[in-house]
Formats: sequence, structure tokens, C-alpha cells
Amino acid sequence: MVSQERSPRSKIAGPPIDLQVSYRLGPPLIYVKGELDHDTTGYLREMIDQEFKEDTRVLILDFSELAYMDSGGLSLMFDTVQRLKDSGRLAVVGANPGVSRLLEITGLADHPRFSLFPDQRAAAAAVGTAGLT
Amino acid sequence: MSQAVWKTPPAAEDGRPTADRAAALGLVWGKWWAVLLAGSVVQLALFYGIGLLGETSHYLGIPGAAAALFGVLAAVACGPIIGGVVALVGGAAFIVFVTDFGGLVELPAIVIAIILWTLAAIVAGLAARAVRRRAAAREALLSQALADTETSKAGVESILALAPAFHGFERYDDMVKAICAAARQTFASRSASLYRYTDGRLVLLGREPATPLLPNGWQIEAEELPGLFQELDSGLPGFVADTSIDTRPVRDSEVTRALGLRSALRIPILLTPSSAYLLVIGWSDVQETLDSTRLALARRFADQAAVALEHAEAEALHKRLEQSLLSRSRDPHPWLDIHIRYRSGERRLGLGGDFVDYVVHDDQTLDFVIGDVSGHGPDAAALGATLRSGWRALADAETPPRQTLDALNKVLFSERSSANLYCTLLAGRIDASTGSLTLANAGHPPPLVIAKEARLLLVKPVLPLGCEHEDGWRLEAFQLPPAWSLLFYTDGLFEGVIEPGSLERYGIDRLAQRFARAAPGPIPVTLLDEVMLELEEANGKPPPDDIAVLLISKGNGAAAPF
Repeated sequence: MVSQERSPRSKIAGPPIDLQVSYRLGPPLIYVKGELDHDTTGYLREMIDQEFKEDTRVLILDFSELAYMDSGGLSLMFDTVQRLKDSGRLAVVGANPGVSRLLEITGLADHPRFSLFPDQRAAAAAVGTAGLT
Repeated sequence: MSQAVWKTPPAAEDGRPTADRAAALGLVWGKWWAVLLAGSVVQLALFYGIGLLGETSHYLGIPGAAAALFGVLAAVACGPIIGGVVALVGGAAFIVFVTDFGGLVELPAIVIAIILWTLAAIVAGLAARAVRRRAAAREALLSQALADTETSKAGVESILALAPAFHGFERYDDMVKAICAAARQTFASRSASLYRYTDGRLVLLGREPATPLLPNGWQIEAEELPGLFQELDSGLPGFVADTSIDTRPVRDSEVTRALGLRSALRIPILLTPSSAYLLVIGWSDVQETLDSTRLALARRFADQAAVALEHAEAEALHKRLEQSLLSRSRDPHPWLDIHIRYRSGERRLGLGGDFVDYVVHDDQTLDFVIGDVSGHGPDAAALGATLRSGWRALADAETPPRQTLDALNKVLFSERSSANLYCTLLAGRIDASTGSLTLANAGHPPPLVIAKEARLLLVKPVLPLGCEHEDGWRLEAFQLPPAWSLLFYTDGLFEGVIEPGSLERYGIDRLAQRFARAAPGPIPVTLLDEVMLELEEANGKPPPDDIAVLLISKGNGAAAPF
């Protein structure tokens, strides 16, 4: 398992964010732990930029330890969905009810290139058929 | 704060401290007559005593040496004249001594001896005086330096104490007035004026004391003031010792004369390359030089004033931006009560891009919009303001909703400074003749409708402005009940925590529950204010993000057609 950890605790005030990337499922899988708000979204944006290659079709975000997301984090979701090509997919795993709610009320959950999955197994199954072809 | 910080050092006011210190060192003995008397008496006694020894011719050297010695001593102590007199008295006594006891010495030799020791006394006296003067001058310099140090220390301390007085003014003019008054006090000057430098000219912002000769807004070309550009470039104060011999244009020197000013100190206050101020200190008497104390004081003062001015500029910009984000319309509606609330978030100067506006058409149809540009800062705020004014123009022209959204989307694509700026938005229309509500939602939190009960009016959203909209826009229509309030808001309203220190956010569902307690609608705007205060108290500090709220309530039901 290739993994790299970033803990930008020293750079920001307030609840920190921990990011970790794994390629266990094939496409980049980013674990997002903490809060995704206007202050911390920049770190995830940087990491997505890093992982985003010319041929990237699928990106998986594991939100099972994400406590909260605000409109700053949401705009990054919009941004990422826009960057993915037609058959691409942004998969979000394990979002808590608050975060899911936000994704639903803002219409992102209905976007054809966006999917919410309860867990990684469900995501892997979907990605296996639709993602890596 | 009540006393002048800079004043003429005491040593320069009169000579006393210098003289006191010199006397303390024993360099001048004021009782010259005592020296004269004692010198004369001792010499006469000496001569008489020697005479008693007999054979006076053997001891001729003793009275001579004594006369010279006493003359020199008296001269050193009390100056050349007293010394000379003492020496002459010694000479007279010597003549009497020689005449009485021997007459062995020729007269020319006696005269030469007396002249020599008198001269010795005078020379010694002059030398002593020179030494004394030099010492006194050194003392004077020393005490002046001490006084200067004290003055500059007091000055800096006083400036530190002055600093807070520049903040916390409601009005910009009051702050300008405070800076001028403080400068006038600090530099013990007759006047202090503050100018803003724009496009090659200086515009007077304020002056203490105010004078009809120089009203606020009075202008002067910067090039008319020699040396000003260098001062504005370098940030170093410029000093004009005597304005009456200054090579200024006639108009300005006339004004200067009429104001009774002679010396002037110009202190540049530089904020950014494009923002500069000039503080002009004027004295009614000629100030010899700009000493280092005043120079240091001037620069400290400029620093303090810069902080206050920068703060005021940021505040003014913030206010302007905030105003451009909010509706300027206060058009009343015959059957609807419309209220707008806006709160700045925690990062007060990092204004967000929340905006809100409404238009009442002639047939009483109401168009309204609320939006939130992602991110913070001037870019987000400017984009929000652009979208709001764009929306208003389109609404005034009664553009159909889909075209309005298309146009705003294009505006966002062309105006956004970075590709990751988006805008969530709720736009709607209330048809007053039928009581129907049409809404379009681009990724925005849903409104609350408070009728018999309160619930979220779930409007199926499309992606925010700034995303591709392959499937176009979606409009949804609702029939409004007989009595209702509609609450539109940006997500800042429910993003605070539920209690200070907690990590749990208030959230949209708690918000709906809170207003459910207020049902049935319509609710008064005071209730909205109450809830906003509750949320802020729960959060324990100002909200993390900006908040915009639009409350529309059905007013006097009797007059309404629906």
C-alpha cells in the first residue's frame, strides 16, 4: 500500500484536517479526516491536483471520518466533478448524514458524474464495472 | 496627553542650568572682594613679618614671589582684573618694604619686577577664564543632550499612549481630527493638517485648528511644493525652516503668511504605493533645525497614523463592498413585508460574497434573489456585487427566469478571477395576483416556509452557477397558503456550532425546528432577529461565515387578492 500523510496542523487554526492517499482500489482513494471548510479545503484541493492525471477517470473520497463540510468544501466537489471527463466519476464513501444532506440539497448528489456510496466495498464494485475500463 | 511632548530644551531657554553646574564645580568664586582683601592683608603682613627678621636684603625674593603667587591665584579664582590688582597691591607693599628696610634695589628693577608679576597674574586669569568657558560649554552640551534624551523618551512614550486614541471612531472625519489634534500637541505646533495624496495632488482631509482659509477638500498640486516627491518616495519627513524665504508659489505662501506660519514639517505617511498621506505641522515662529529628536518623533507618529489610516481605509472598502452586495431597493409592497438582514463573519475584513436583492414590479409581482459566491475576500465580494447588479438589471427589464439564469451564468464565467469560484443561488418570483411562487435553485440551501407549520421547501437544485448546465435550468412552482413567511438565507446562518467549544454544527434541520416553534406564520421580523441572536450566542462568537437573510411575509391579508 502506497501512502503518504500530510498533517498541516501547524499551518491552520481550529480543527485540523488529515489527508491520506491510497491506491488499494486502483484509482486514487483519499481519506479525509476532520473538517472540510474554507480554511482546510485548500489542502484537499492541492492533493486532488496532485493525484489528477491526464487520464484520471475516477477519484474516490473516503468521508467516513469527515465531521463537517461547508460551502468551501462543496465548491471543491463541484470543481472536481467539472474536471472529470464525460465517463468519469467522483465517488464519495461513508459521508455522515450532515454531509450527505449538504450534497443532496445542493444538487450534487444527483449529478451524473457524482456518486455517494455507503462504504468502500460498494464503491469498489461500482468502480470495477464503470471506472477502470 | 495633556502636555506638549516636544518643547524647547530648558538649557536653551536661559543660561541658568549651565551656570549652576559650573559653580557647583567650583570654577567661579563670586566673592572677589574677599580674595582681594585676604591677598592684600596677607602680603602686607608677610612683608612686615620679614622686616622683623632683620637683614631684609637677604629675603628680598620672598615678598616678590609672594606677590606673583597671590596675583596668579587671585586671577585663577576671580579673573584677570582681580588678579592684576592683587599683584599690584603686592608690588606697592614691596616698594614700601624696600624703601623702609634698605633701599638697596634700584627703582627700574622694582618697576620691571612689578610689571612682570602683574602681567603673569593677568595671563593666568585669562587662561583660567578660557578653560572655564570651555568646560562650561561642554557642560551645557551635556545637559542639553540629557534633556533631549528625556524629551525624546517622553515623546515616544506619549506617542505610544496616543495610539489607541486613533481607533474606534465611528466617523472617518473624527479620526482625522484626532490625528491632527494629537500631532499638534505632540509637536507643540500652531497647526497640524492631514492631506491625502491622489493623482499628483494633495487634498486636505482635516486641520487643527480648523480655518476658513483652508476648508476640507482644499487642494494643491504636489509639484508646487519643492521636494515633496522625494519625501513621498523616501518616506522621510521634509523640513522648511522659514517659509517666508521659501521658493513657493505666490498663492501658497500668501496662505501660509495669512495663517501666520513660519516653519513647517511635512511628514509623509505611506500605506501602499498607491495610497499616501501627508501630515503638515506648522509653527508660528522659526524653528532653527529639525533635530534628531523631532525627526524620530515624526517617524514614530507617521507609523501610528499609518496604522489608523490603513484600518480606516480597509473599513471604508469593506463598507462599500458590503453595500454593493445588498439591495438598495427599499420599495414597499402593498401586501408583502420584506426584510433583509446581513452579518459579517468572523473574518470581518475577509468579506464573503453573499448577496441579496429584490424588485417590485408595477403589477405587484415580486422578483427576488439570494446568492453566495464561494470563497472569501475582495474577489468573492466583487463577484457577488457584480451578480447582484446584473440580476437587478435583468429583473428590471422583466427578463424571463431561464434567460436571467443563463445571463448570470455567463457573467460569472467571464468575470470570475479563478476557475474555482462558484455561486449558489435561489431566484424566485411571487405573483401577487394568484399567490403562486416560482423558484429556481442553483445549489443553494432550500428556503423555509412558515405557514401552519414550518418546513423546508425542497426545491430540486441544479449545479451552482459556474458549472456546466447541460440539462438547462429547472423551475418549480408552488401555491402559497393563505398566511405564510418565506425565509431565504445563505449557509452561514446555520454553520455556527450548537454551543461554545462544541464541534457540532447547528445545521439546517435544527434551523427548521427552531422556526417550527414559531409557527403558524407569518412571523414578525423581530423573531428572525431573536433567532439570529440566539445562534450567535450559541456559537459564542461572531458567525464563521457571512450571513445574508431575506424574509418575505404576507402582510395585511385583508387587502391581498390571494
